[in-house]
Amino acid sequence: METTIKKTTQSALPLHQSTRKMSVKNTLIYAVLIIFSVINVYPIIWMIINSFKSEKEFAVNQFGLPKTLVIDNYIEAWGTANLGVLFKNSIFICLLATVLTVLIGALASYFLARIEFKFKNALYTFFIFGMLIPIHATLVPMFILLKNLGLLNNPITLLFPYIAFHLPITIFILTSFMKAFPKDIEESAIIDGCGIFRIFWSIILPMSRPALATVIILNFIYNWNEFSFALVLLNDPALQTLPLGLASFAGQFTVNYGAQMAGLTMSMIPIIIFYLFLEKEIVNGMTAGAVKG
Amino acid sequence: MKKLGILVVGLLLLFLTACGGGEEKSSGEGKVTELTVWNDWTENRPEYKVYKDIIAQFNEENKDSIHVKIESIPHDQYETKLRTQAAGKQLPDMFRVWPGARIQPLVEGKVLLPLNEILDTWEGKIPEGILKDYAVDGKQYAIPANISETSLIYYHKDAVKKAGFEDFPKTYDELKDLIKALNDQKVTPIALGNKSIWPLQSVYISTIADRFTGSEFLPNTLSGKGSFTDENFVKALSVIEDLAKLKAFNEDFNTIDEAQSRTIFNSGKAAMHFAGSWAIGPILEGVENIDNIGVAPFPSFGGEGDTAKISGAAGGGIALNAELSGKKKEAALKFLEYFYDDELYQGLAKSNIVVPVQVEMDDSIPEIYKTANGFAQGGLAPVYDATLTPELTDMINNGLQSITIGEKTPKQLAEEMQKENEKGKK
Amino acid sequence: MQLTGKSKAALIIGLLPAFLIYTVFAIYPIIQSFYYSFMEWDGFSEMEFIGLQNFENLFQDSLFWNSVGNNIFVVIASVFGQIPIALFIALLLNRKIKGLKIFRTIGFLPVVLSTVVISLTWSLIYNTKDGMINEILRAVGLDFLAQNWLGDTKWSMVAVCITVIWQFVGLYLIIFLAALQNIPEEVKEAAKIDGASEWMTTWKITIPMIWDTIIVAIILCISGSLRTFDLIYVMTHGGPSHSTDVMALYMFNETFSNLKYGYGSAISVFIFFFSLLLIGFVKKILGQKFI
Repeated sequence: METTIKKTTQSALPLHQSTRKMSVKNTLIYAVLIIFSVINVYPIIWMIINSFKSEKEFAVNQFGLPKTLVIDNYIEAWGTANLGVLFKNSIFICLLATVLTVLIGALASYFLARIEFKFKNALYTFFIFGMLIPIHATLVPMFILLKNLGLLNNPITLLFPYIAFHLPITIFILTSFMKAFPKDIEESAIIDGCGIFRIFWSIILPMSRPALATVIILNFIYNWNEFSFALVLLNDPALQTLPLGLASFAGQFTVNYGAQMAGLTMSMIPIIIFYLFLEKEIVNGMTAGAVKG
Repeated sequence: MKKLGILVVGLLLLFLTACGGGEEKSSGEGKVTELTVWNDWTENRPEYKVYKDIIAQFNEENKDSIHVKIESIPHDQYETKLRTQAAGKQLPDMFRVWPGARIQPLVEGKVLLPLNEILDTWEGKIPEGILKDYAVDGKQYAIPANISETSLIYYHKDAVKKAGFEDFPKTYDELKDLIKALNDQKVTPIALGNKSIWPLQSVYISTIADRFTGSEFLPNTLSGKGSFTDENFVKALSVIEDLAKLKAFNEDFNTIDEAQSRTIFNSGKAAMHFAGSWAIGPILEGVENIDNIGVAPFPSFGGEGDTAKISGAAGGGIALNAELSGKKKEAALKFLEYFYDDELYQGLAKSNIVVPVQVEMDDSIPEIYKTANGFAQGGLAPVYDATLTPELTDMINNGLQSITIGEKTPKQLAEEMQKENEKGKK
Repeated sequence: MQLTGKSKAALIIGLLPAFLIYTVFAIYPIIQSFYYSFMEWDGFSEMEFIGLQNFENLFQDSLFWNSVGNNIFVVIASVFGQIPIALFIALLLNRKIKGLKIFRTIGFLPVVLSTVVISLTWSLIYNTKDGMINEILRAVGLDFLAQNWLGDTKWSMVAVCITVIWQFVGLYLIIFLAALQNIPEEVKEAAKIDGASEWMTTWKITIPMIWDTIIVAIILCISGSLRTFDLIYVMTHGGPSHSTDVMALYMFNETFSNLKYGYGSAISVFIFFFSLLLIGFVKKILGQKFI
């Protein structure tokens, strides 16, 4: 709360000095941002509008508003693709994978960023290699590996590839962020008698909030939209995740666009909510910490 | 952040308990043999309902001994999944397969179970010529549920009439005149969606090349007795070049897919649409006036082939895993005999799918279905992508697209294909 | 921070979970894939060792080199498109003007959006007949500029790249926004009191202070672009006439459509080492200590 008050007083100052110049500039900024936003929002609006059109109307009118609102698409999408179950599975696996990846990744990043030890750079580079692996090359080996480990077709099957393949980017972003902290942070803590994990948990993690929020969002989105592993590693319809269900509206010779758009619209809602939750962490988090520190 | 943390942990606990509570009922209840069948029936289409209903009925009738479990995979990803699991030696008990060249690698990898011991069930019922699409070296690996005619011309009767044609063109020259007349009237002549690159090959070339070269050409060439550089084959490829130059297609034909092109035709913006028998249902569902839609065979091109023939192949086959044995194998064979029976073919015909057996046709059956069904009687020419190796299919698909935008000449493509063909022989 | 003897155990506890799961489930499969690259295998039959044959074929495969060329195009377009645009928008959003919050959210939306929707809407925008771009060009009398954007091999790659840039600007936007929070208010205030213009403050203070993050973003961008697959797979299938084929797509098709697992694996080995080389090179230019 105190920071917001501070902010408003700050911005009031220069406003007095040259109000006109500022307002022209602000108008320009708004103009740029509005154009940027229109381009960004257009496809989403298009998707939502078309999710309310019947198949025949979609064929002749892909741009305009629907003549009559058809909610059948939503009902059909929900039923055909069994979306209820898929939503549950997706939320479960995405949350669990994201929490674990970020936790394990943050811990590793802390050591890689803040602590001197032998082979540190080699280990860091080793982790970063993971960002260069083309996913599709690993489908067959991953399938065989999980088969041999008896981990196919299990509610937690997807955790393994999801965590393994998203650790690199998580570690990459977090390490670069943590390295930027001033060197003396831990030293005073050590004098106070804090252990390494204590420092990690009570000092480094809170300071890394914006970066943590960023990697949490990234992980969640990647997992939410991940298709290939979900396709090959799970057979049981009761275990499948959303992207697979959303692909089921396109057949060999036909595509049910209305239901597809309805399904895609619904699948976007949780992820937008999730993003809105975390967005303010990205933007507010650090300022508070830095002022106090 | 803290609040969010609590929320996340709370949700996870909720799910964990929910999942724990919902443990699956164990499937191995003693005597019931469970069989899994893979397919691509994910959409809400009438023919898929027919398939699923029959399976449900089978399960009901055999509820003490056999249970068939359906696992549907979206079509575009079906083969990726099947091939990954095959590489990991984890194929399901039964799975949908496509005919000809596409079961070849599965047979060579010895993953399919021959069905010859139950083949008598369909003897005399399904023509030999259709059954053989699912046979390799005399062994039968699946039973066809339908015939996929790949080359039909759908047209809006009024648009063709308005362009000055009382009957649909019978020769290629007449067809070209029709295209010119339609272009003069600012009507798109043919709706084509070739983004996914197979339509020009499967729908167009399969029949056009057959008209020029005759049906023996393709198998002969593949076995080394002919060449793709054959003048007649090059002529067939040139037809695609001609059509593109005539501006016969919608301008965006290389950037939309096959299903999208059908909506252009359905909405009446294009006068014709070349597609297979799979389009009958979607067109009947999509157009305003069914009676205005006609269907015609490809015209004659003055070549060596039989003009009564159109290209087509069997479809809808389900193959069995070679590892099935004992009780499971027995159950699977019993299932196939039950599944590929009159009820299936009747149901499919009602869903506007062309079937390989004679079914009764009452008045409720739409005219274009009856006409299309009749074309199958003239005999089927081979479909290119059901006959060529995967590499050659890829090459001709991309090559035809290149021809339409002037990046390649028909002759170049023919030579390229022959080079690949000879490479494969070594 | 230096470790004392006792905390060696902490080091192991801290790094082991990440190391284990990453090695077993990411590194092992890719090494397995490297192994397949010496084999001829169709996925059904037995494997056959053929030494370096796959790589020999790879180096003579003109379609493959075409995909490498296209992929480099994507990398360049992404680095010089996504990063500057994202940085510019992030700087605009990082000020205290009313109502900016909503723009921040909107800026991120494309990252969340399904590639299916992106592909459908952008294909409509690019459509040669009634697409928005051509309609606008025609409306202002610039008919001669109207193109078959996705259908013409001269333009398809440009069109695809614009969409790719659009899709991921939001990703770098939030990374930059997070980094900008790291700059203490006092620094900016001090500059203001010294009479530095806003432009100067941005250029001399803000940018240098987030330079490390910019490098991080560039490396993410390169590694992402070298593996780009989803959007192009849905939007053009690599066509027309292979003009938008990229490495990962080519590998996927060779592996799963043409049933050449060994050959596909050889391509993935190439992608991996090519990426390594490119990133090492960029790192050298930008002068960061380790990757």
